[in-house]
Amino acid sequence: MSSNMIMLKSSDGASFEIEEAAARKSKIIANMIEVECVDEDKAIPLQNVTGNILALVIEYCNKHIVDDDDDVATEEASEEEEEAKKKKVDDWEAEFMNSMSLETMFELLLAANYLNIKSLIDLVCQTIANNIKDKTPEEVRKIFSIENDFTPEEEEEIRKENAWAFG
Amino acid sequence: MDIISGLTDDLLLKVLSFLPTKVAVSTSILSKRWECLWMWLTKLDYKSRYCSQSQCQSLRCFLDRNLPLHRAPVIESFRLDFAYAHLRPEDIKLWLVIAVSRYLRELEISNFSYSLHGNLTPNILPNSLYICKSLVTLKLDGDIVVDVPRMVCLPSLKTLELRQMKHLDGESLRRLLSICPNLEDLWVDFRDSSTFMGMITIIVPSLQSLSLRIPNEGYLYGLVISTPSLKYLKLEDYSEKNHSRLIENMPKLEDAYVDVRFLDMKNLIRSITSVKRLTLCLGAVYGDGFVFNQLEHLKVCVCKSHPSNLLVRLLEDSLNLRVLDIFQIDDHDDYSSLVPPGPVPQCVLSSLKTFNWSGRPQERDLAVYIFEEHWFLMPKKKSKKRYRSLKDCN
Repeated sequence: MSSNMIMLKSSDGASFEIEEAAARKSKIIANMIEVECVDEDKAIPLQNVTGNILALVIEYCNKHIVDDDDDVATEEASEEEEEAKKKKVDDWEAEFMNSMSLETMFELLLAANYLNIKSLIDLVCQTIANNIKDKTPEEVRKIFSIENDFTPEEEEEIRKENAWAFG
Repeated sequence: MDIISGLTDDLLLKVLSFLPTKVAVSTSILSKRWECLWMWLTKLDYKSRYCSQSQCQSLRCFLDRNLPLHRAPVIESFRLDFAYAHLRPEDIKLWLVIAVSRYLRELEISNFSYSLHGNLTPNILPNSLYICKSLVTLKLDGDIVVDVPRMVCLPSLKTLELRQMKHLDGESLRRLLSICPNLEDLWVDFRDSSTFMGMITIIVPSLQSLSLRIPNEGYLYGLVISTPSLKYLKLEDYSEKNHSRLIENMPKLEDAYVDVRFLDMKNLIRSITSVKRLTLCLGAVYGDGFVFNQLEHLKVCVCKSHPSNLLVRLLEDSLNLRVLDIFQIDDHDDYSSLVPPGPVPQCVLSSLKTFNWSGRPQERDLAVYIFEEHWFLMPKKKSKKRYRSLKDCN
């Protein structure tokens, strides 16, 4: 299998080489390739993504392109194999997300959104949601440094109106 | 500046969509920006199981106030899970009217009520549900009455699940199916204590997957299945009475799970002969003259009702079989002892490559006996798993 390589350039000038198949995980880049705006020798400039975040995006894309290929090759794979494979991907994703700080996570989400990589957007949103799930509103405000701009009266009113959610 | 403010509302909403609705609503207290964000959620899930009167009251107030004000123009999915909740049926009906009016795509209701109303189950489904053009999935579970009005249609409905429904009988099922011209996936699980099923008629030309469970109790007059496009069939028919069962041919069938207790199986077996994968538990051996010429993977349950000569018959009728699994369906009664099957002509076994045993460990010796000494299949490879792969003859 021949694999075309593509160059991506981050906002801070770092260049990355990536397989076309992996880069196609991004709908934006896939569109660029379709309409042939990609010059073989030139890197695609990504103005909204810094080098350290782009490296994470590429790591994610590389990991998932392999899995997609497997799906095609082993149509007849048994349920057990499918499960084992899915678990491997899940474990990798858990580790991948675990390795980064919340700030990095938000930057990664913005990059995934800009590059339009749906599965990565879902993964990051799910991880952020897991961070919120079992916390009190006060804890959530603290973790995400959200400023409470309600007056105590306003807050009390919302608590009353949405009492079901705080029960 | 908070780190989360860099994200657009769309992305924050996406984060909320991964939370249970109740938790998502509780983010309304975080800040002004968050106050109304959850009201754009397109998937809503309300649960009240075994809750106190005051908890149910607070859910009722919340829904009465907020559902009409919900901002998302389209509700993708609406789920109500009420078990023994102190909620009035007319209130539930009103919430459903609102949800249905928002181009609802998926509706799932589980409702188990106290028998406050005697034997009468109140009707919570509004008439507008039966003309909901956008509805793709409908899943109903428990004390819910289906009463299809005249002149209605669910043109987009693809998936229908009816579980443990009180008062669901063959006639109400037939009427519901008659308004779903594009149904692909049907799951019907008649209530165990259901007293009357009558005639069960499933005539759906577009259907691709059917799971049907008929309990032993209850009056059944007969069963008619006509689903020529079916690819997957799961039939659990525990009614032991020999009513008429008219099952028409399913030439596209690939997968079947058949667990039946009735004896006249000709009709059924004839219509499933095109399967590639078959899981079977029968109370008797079926008649002569059937060939499973596509069958590659056969799983046979050897519980108490397994007739000892069934296995031989199946092997003789399945000349392209590659994998044979012997197992026992989880909730089936244990067999007292496995009787060794009779001899099978060697040519019958020539295509068989794998034999898996996951029955009781104490019968493993017998399985080894059947395959190694009785049917002369010499093991080449033994799997490390709890079953053994006794033959691998490439």
